[in-house]
Amino acid sequence: MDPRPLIISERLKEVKRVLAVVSGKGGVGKTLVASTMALALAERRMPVGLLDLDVTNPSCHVVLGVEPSKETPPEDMGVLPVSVHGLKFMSLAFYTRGEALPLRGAGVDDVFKELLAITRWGMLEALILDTPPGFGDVILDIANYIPGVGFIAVTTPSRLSVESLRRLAKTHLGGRVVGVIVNMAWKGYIPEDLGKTGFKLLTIIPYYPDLEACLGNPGMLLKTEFAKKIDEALNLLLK
Amino acid sequence: MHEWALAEAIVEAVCGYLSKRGVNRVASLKVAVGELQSVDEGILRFAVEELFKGRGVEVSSLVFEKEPAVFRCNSCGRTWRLEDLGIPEDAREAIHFIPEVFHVFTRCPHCGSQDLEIIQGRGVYIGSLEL
Ligand SMILES: Nc1ncnc2c1ncn2[C@@H]1O[C@H](COP(=O)(O)OP(=O)(O)OP(=O)(O)O)[C@@H](O)[C@H]1O
Ligand SMILES: [Mg+2]
Ligand SMILES: [Zn+2]
Repeated sequence: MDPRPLIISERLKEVKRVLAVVSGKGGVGKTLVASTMALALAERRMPVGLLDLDVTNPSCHVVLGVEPSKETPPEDMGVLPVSVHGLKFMSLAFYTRGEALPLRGAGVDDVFKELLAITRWGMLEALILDTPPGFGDVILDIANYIPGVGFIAVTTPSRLSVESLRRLAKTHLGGRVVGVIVNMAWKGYIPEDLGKTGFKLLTIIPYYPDLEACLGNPGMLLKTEFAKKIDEALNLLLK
Repeated sequence: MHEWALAEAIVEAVCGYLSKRGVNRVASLKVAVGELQSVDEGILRFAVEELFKGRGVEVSSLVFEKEPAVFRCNSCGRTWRLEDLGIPEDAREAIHFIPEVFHVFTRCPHCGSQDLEIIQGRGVYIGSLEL
C-alpha cells in the first residue's frame, strides 16, 4: 500500500484554494502566468504558494530569479517551501540543481506524490501550480489527489491551441476549468473561437516583446502591462 | 527530520484503513524501507510509534524491512544494484528527499543511458497489514 495519497490532502488542509495553470499546447505562457499570478497575490499581502510541477523541466525559478543550487528547502518534520519575494516556493529544481530530469510516466507520478507528501505549506490563501503542457500524468494526478483544484487554462489565439482546449472541455477534467487566459494575442484578435470551449474568459494578454528583460526580476515584472492583465484575471477569479 | 513526514504518511494511511473498518488495533504491520531513499530507520520507527500512540492505535508487531534497490536500463535492458551505481555523496541528500532525482546523477553503468528505472527499493511503503 502506498502511504502517500492520504497525507497529500492532510498537507493541503490549510490551503484555501489550489489553482493549476494548464494548457493543451506548450509554450503558451503557463509558467509566466503562474509565477506572475503568485507574485501578484503576494503583492496583495495574501499568503500564497507557488509549486512548480513541470517536474522534468521546471522553470518558475528562472522567472522568480531564484538560483536553485544556492537555496535548499529547510527541513522541519518534512520540508518547507523556500520563502522568496513574499511567497512560498517549491520546485524540484532545488533537488536536481537545475539539471534535466529524464523521467517516464511512473517516475513523474512518484515525484508528484513525494513532493506533495513531504512539503508543508501551512496556511495559504492560494497555492498556484505550474504544470507541463498537455493532459498527461501531472494533470491527472492533480485532478485525482487535489479534489478542490481549479484549472486556469492558458491558450494563444491560434486555432491549434484553442482546439486543444475544446478537447479538454469534453474530458472529465473540463468541469474543473475556472477560466481561460488568452495569451500572446495579436492586434485585433476577437475571442469568438473560445465559445466552443464553453469556458469563462478571464483576460486577453497581448504579446509584449520587452517581457524577456523582466525574467528573473519580479519587481520589474510586477510593473509590466502583462502583470496588470494578470491582476484583471485575479480580480475575476477571486470575486 | 523528513522521516517524520514519511511516518505521518504511514500512520495516516493505516488509520484511514482502520477507521473504514471501525477498529483501532493492528496485529502486524510491515513497512518496507527502500535502500535508495536511505531513510534513518531508528527515527522512522520512533516517529511511527509516537504517532500511533497519539492516535490511540495499538500495533502488536511493527517490523521495518530493508528492500535492496535494483535498477533497470530501458535502453540495454540490463539490471544492477545500488552499489554499482556510484552515486556521488553530495547527491545522496537530494535523493533522500525525492528518490527520482537519482536520474540526474547517474547513468547506466553498461551503456551510459539515462533512461533508467528503479524496479525495487525506491522508498517507504506499507508491505503488509494484518488486523
Ligand atoms: N504575453 C507575452 N508576451 C511576450 N512574451 C511572452 C508572453 N507570455 C509568455 N511569453 C514568453 O513566451 C515564452 C514561453 O512562456 P512560458 O515558458 O511561460 O510558456 P509555458 O506554457 O510555460 O511553456 P511550456 O509548455 O514549455 O512549459 C517565454 O519566453 C515567456 O517569457
Ligand atoms: Mg512552463
Ligand atoms: Zn544500459
